[in-house]
Amino acid sequence: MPPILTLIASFLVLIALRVPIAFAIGLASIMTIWQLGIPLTSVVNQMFASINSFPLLAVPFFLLLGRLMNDGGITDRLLNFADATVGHIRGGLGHINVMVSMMFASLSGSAAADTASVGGVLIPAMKKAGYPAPFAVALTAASSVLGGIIPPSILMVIYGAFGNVSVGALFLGGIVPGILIGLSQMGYTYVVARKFDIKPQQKASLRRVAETGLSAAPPMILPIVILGGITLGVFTATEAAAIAVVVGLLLSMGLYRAIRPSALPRIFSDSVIAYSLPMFAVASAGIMGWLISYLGIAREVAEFILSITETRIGLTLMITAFMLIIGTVLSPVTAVIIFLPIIQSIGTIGGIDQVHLGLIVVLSLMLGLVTPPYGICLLIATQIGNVSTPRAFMAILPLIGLVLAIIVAGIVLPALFMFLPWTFLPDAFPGR
Amino acid sequence: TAQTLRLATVVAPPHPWIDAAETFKTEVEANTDLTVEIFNGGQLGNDQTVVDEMRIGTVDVMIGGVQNISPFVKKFEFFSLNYLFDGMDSFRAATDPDGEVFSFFKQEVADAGVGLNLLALTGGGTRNLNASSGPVTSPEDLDGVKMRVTGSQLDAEMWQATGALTTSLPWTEVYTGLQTGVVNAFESTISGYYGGRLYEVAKFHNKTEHQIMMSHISISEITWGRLSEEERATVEAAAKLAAERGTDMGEQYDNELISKLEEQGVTVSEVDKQAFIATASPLHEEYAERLGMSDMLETVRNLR
Amino acid sequence: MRAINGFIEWVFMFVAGSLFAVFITTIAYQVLARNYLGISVNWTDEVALLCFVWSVFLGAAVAVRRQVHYVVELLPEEFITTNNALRLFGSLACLPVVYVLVVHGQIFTGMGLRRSSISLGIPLAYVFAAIPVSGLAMALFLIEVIQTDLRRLRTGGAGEHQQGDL
Ligand code: NA
Ligand code: NA
Repeated sequence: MPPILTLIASFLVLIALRVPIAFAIGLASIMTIWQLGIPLTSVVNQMFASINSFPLLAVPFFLLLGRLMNDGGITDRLLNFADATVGHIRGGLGHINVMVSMMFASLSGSAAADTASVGGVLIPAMKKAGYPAPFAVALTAASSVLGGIIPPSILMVIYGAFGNVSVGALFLGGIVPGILIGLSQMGYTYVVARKFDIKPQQKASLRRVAETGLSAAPPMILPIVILGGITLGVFTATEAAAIAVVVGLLLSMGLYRAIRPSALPRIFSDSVIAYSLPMFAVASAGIMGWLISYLGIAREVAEFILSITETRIGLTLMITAFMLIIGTVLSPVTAVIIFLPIIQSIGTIGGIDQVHLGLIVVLSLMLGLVTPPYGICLLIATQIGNVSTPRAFMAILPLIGLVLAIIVAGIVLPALFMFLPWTFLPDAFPGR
Repeated sequence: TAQTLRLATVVAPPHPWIDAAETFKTEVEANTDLTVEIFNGGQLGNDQTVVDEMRIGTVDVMIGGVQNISPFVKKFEFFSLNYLFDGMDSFRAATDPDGEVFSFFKQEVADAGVGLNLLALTGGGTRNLNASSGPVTSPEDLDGVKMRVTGSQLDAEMWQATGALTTSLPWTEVYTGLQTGVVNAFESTISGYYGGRLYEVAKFHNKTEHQIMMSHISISEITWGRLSEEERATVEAAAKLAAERGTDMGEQYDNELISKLEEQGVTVSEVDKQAFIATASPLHEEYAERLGMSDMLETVRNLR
Repeated sequence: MRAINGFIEWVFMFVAGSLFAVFITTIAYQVLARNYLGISVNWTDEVALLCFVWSVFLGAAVAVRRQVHYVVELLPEEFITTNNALRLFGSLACLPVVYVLVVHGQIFTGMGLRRSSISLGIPLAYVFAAIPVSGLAMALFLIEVIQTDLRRLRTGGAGEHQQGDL
C-alpha cells in the first residue's frame, strides 16, 4: 500500500471507530512513518513546531474573555441591550451573531478567535432564546470564517508573502465576498427563525433602550479598546486579545463585582482545558501536514488536475474542490504553504489572475475551518455549545452551501470580487 | 539502491538559495546515482524544525541563513554584527572554502554535536532598512522609532544603539504591524522586502547595507554517514559550486530588485553609512569577546 | 490509582492555570512597555509561547482523564454495547500515541539540550519536556480510563455522553 493511502485510510477508519481525533491523526501518522522506516521522533518535533506559533495565542485569550463576559454578567447586559434594540426583528440574536462576526472580522485576522469570543457569549444566549443548539453552533462557526475573509486576514498576508501576490489587493478583494456571505447568513437566519417560530418580542420602550444601553456601556469599552488599539497601532491582534482580557477582568471583578477573586482559579483552569483540546488537535494535524509535504503528494495532485481540464473556470473549480477537501484535514495556513507552488503554476497555465485565484483559495480554505475533522471553528463552537459534531455538521451544511454559491459566482464572474482591487490598486495588475 | 536527498529551504523563488539548490541538484545528479528533491517555501518546516529533522535523519540537506541556526551553533550569532564586512570582496573571502573563516565554522558546527555537517558558506543578499514613516538616512532618524527585529538579543541591541525602540514580531505579522503602526521600521533582505510586498506598507527603502546575509549549505550527519567516499567528494564539490552561484545570484537579484522597487514608487534613499557604522563598530569587540571570538573578529577585519 | 491520578490532575490544572495567567500578564506587559514605558522588550513572546506550549500539553493530558478529547460519534447512544466496545477501542488506540509522546518525547527533550531559545538563550529542553511529562500522565490516566471502559463493557452500563463531543 502506498504510504499516502496508509495515512488517509487509517485516519478515516480510526475516527469512524471513535478514536479521539487528535489521537487518530497521531496514530495514522505513526503507522505511515513506521511504514516509511523513518524515526518516530519526527512526530514530536512536528507537534511542537505546529503549536509554537505566536498568532495561536489569541485563541486562549478570547476563550477566557467569553467566559469572563458570561460569568461577569457582561454578556447579559450586552444581550439586554441588543434585545431592546433589535429583539423585535425576527432572528434578532442570529443577526447579532453575524453582525458581531463581521465587525470582529474587521478587527482580527483570526477566525478561531472570533468563534471563541462571539460563540462564548452568543451560543448560550441563542440556546436560551429557543434556537436549536446545532443551529446556534453552526451559525457561530460559519459566520466566524469571515475573520479570514474580511480584512485584515492572517491567511491573506501569508498567501501574499509566500505567493508574491499583492496583500493589499487580496484585502480589497475580500470585502465584497465577506459582505455577501454575511448578508446571506442573515437571510438564512431569518428563514430558520421563522421555521422554529422564534418569537420576535414587542418593540421595547425608549426608556428600556436607554436603561439597557447605559448598563451595557462600560463593556462597550472592549470593542473600542480592540478596534482603537489595532487601528492606532498600539498593539497587534494577539496583543489586543490579551488587553481585552485584562479589561474584561477589571470590569467583571472591579466594576461589577460579579466574579470573586476566589473564582478565578476555576475560570482559568476551565479555559485551559477549553483551548488545550483544539490546540492539541492542531499539534497532531501538524504531523499529517508535514507528512503530506514530505511524501511529495502536492506535485502529483497538480499533474492530476491538469490532466482533467485546462479551461479557466474548470481549473478554478477543480482548485476550489481540492482546497475544500484539503481543508478538512489541514489548517489553512499549512495548506497554503504546502500547496501554493502547485496552485500558482496551475493558475499560470490556465490564465487565471493570481489575486483572483488567491481570493478563491482563501475562501475555500476558510470553509475548511468548519468542516470536520480539522474544523477548528466548528470544534470550538461545538465545545461551547455542547453539541455533537454530526449534528452540528448537518446544521452547517446549508451555510456552507451559501458560501460555495458565492465562491462559484465569483469564479464565473471575476469582476464580482475583483472590482474593488481593479479600481483602487490598478498598479497591482500591470496587464490590465 | 539509489538514495533521494531531501533539500529544504524556507524561501520561495526567485531567491539566491533556490538557485544554489538547483545548482547542487544538477551537479549531484550528473555525477552520482543520488537524486535531489528540493522542498522550498518552508514545506518541511522552519529552519529550526528542519535542523531537528536533520538530527533525526528525515531531511538531508538545508540551505538557509546562519542566524536561524544560531540556536544550535551559538557562534553563528557573530554574523548578526552589522557592518562586519566592508563589501562583497571581504564577504567572498569569508565564504572561501579554503579560507580560515569557513574552516573555523566547519569545526564549530561539528563540535556543536547537533548532527550537522557544514558543506559551504554562501550569500543570501544584502540587508537594508525599511520604514513606513519617512526616509531614514542617519541613525538620528531612528531615534524612538518602533522597529521590528528578530527575537535575537544581539540584533535588538545592535539597533537599540541607533536609538530605535525595538520589538520582536514574527515575520508573518510584519505586514499588518506596519500597516497599523505597531512598528514603523524593520530590516530585511531586499528580496524579503520585495517578495513579501512589504513596500505596500513601508514605502521608504534605505540602503543601509548593514549586513550581507551569511548563509550555509549543510548536510545531516546521518546522511553523510550513508554516502560512499566518491559520493561525499561529489556532494562537497557540488556544494562549493552551489555556494558560488548563491553569492552571485544574491548580488544580481539585489540590483534588479532595487530598480523594480523604484518602478513601484518606493523611495530608495542612500544613507550616511559612516554614521551607522559608527553606532555599530563599538559593539563589535564587546560581542566578539562575549562569544569568545575576538580572534575571529581580527581575522575577518584582515579580509578587507 | 484514582487517588494518585486525582492528585496529578489537580497539580496539572494548578500549574497550567498559573501558566495561563503568566502569559496574559507577559503580553500585557509587552504592550505597556513598548507604548507607554518606551522600553524595548524582546523576551515576552518567548516566555508567553513557553507557557502556552506547556499549558496545552498539561491540559491535553487532563482532558484524557476527563475523556473530553474530540471524538466523532457515528452511532446513536442507543447502541450501548457497541458504543462501549468502541470506547474501549478508542482508549486502547491512544496507547501507541502516548508511547511515542513518552519515549520519543524524551529523545526530543534530549535533543533540546543543544537547541537554545532565540532571545533568552535557555535550552529548549525545558519546553520540550512538556511532551514526555504530558505523555506519562496520559499513560496513567489511560489505565484508569481503560479500567472504567472494561467495567462498563461487562456491566452493560451506558457511558455518559461525553462533554464537548465532536
Ligand atoms: Na479579518
Ligand atoms: Na458569529
